[in-house]
Amino acid sequence: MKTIALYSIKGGVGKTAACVNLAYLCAQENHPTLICDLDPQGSASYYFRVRALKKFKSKHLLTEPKKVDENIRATDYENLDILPSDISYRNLDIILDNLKKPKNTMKQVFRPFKKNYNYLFLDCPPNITLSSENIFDVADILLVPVIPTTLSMLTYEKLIEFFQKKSFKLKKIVPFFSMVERRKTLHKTTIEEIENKDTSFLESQIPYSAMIEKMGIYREPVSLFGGASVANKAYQALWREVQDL
Amino acid sequence: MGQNTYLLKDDVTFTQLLQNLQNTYTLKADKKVQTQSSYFDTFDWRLYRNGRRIFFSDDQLNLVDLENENILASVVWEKRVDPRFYWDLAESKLRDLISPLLTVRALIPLLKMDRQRQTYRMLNKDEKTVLFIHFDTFQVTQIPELGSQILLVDIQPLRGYKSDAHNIQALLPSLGLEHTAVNESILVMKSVGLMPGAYSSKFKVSLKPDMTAETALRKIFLNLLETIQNNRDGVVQDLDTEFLHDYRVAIRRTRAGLNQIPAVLPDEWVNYAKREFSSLGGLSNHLRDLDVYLLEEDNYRSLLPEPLRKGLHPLFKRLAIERGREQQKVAQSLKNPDLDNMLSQWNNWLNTPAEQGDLANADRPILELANELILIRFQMIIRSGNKIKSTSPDEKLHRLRLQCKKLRYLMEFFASLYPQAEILYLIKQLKQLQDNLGKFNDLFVQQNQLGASLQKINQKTQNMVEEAAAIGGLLAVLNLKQQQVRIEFKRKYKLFSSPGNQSKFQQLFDKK
Repeated sequence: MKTIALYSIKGGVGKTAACVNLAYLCAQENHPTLICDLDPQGSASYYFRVRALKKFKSKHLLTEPKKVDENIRATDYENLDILPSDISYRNLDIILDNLKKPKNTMKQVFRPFKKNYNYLFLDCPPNITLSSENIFDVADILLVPVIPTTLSMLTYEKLIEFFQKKSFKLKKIVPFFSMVERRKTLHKTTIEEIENKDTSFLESQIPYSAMIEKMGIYREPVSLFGGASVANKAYQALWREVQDL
Repeated sequence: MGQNTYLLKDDVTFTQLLQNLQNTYTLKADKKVQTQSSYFDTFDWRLYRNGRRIFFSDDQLNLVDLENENILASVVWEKRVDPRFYWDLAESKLRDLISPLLTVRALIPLLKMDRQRQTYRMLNKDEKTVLFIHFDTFQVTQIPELGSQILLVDIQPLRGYKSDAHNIQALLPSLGLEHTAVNESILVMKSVGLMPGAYSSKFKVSLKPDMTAETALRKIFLNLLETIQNNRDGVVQDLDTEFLHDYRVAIRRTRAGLNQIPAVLPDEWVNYAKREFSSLGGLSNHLRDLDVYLLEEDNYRSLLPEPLRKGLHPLFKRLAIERGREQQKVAQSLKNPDLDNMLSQWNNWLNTPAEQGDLANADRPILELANELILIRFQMIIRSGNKIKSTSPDEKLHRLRLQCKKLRYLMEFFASLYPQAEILYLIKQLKQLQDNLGKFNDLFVQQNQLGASLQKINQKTQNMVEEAAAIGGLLAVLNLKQQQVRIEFKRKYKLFSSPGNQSKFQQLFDKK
């Protein structure tokens, strides 16, 4: 099972949209795929019209594997399941902190998924905490959407520094440009500058697109209502690249 | 899927059902999907018996687990003709999975059908799909006169929405649906009269200990006659080599029954049948020899060192041509109306009461007669076997082989009369000895055949030299192997004739 985490310290960078669309494209290729929505805002769950069971809380995620299994739900699409988020996930770190081995708890949680899934997508909350460290550890690929602006770049650099400091594998970090507006000179020049000094960015870029915003209305992956759109093509290209990593 | 399949009761239509469901649930229709598929299995249902089936659809051959309908493997097949043998398929997971099941048997298209599937999604208040309901209409296409359609409803629950599935499953019976545990493809097959698993090349007749020998023997012969008839068409069409094999074994078993179970049926019948079945069997001897020869090709190749292998090619090419001719000859003879007459004569007799009243064994209980015959044959084998020394001529082993064969047929005819574990154990003991003797004989026959092929080579071309070298090489290897088998015989026979085994035979069959 390959674990791909969509992660960014900064919110509103197109993380959830990328997670939902990539996981969908992955499942379309007949890979049994699970999305784990770790963000207490539950946007990924919302896109798939899935709610968590009323009794399922964050402490169950970390301590009761049987309950985790029960809470996995099928999406409307073949090969694609989701573990929906719950608002109680905001307390994930507090709970982690109280556990004996907080650093590799998530690994234990995800281990049983290996049996049934080829790909695990994690939609991560935008912060850098104990639960993030668990994710850095468990993910094979940390896919980081970066808006080509100074502020967004700063948070990306912070992430790199954090990895170096805590000796996580830097190779895991795979950034790509997100919400790109080619008309904006700032975006264009930022991309050019960065590509000159940092070769780790993927070639595919996700444009800023009304189509992607409409996902909130249709509550479906872009492919299903905007098949011919630039946005859809961009996700397809991105998925091809991620797959080859 | 299988466990969620429902049949519609006679007076229920899809339209009614849909209306009823829509009264309670929000349903959204998907596009109708039409698929054509054909189902394949061997004549003796080897896939079905192993919980598998193969269906062909959209240029793909798919291997399916019957229990859960999961597709285990697929392989592309774009040729216009149907695939027959596993070796016709491209190397693939599917091929690897089926080759040990099929071995030399051909895949036969059993059923061609269309499925029209109308799927409805059941939606919850978030308009999330919580369940698929498939309305399936099956139509068998290869037999147009069987025009009736089969309507099935399949409920496909989604993970995490168990309660929705439970709700609808509780409702369905009241809407005129009947749950069925039978797999959809099996349902369709049965609806057109196909009986999965019905044919097997294993001999199986169930007898009762107190049946008269006459009733029992008629039952045995009728069963064998059915096998002969069942395989005839496959031999004529040359579907695979096993039709001929099963056909011949049934003839041989019939002859063994006629020869070994005396004074049960009238002499006139028995003499007629002995004569007819003997010549019927003889007609295909050469064809079967050629089949066996050709099936050995890969084995022969592997026995030879690389440089000599090329020489086998012309030999097998000639054999294949010869086999083609021989097959046509046999096919012609099987299409002959005289054969129909003979078989129906035999069938009539087996179904008519006998007039001859002086038959010593006819009214005896079959168990008593079976015990007697088996024990006598067993003791004969032990007597002959004990006399065989390592210096005895090969001929002695051949005779012992034939004796063992006779014993084996008797034990199989009457197997249903004995406790299964015990009779199967003794058959297994016998089989181990027979395997050795069979191998010995096969190697003998093969050397003879190769020797005969060698005689035919007289031209001084390079090809012929290569062929002669290959045959010479094989003769040397086969002869060596035969000697090894002969050495093994001593050990195998010792096991078979061990005091323990002998007393087991006595215990099971000596019931005086």
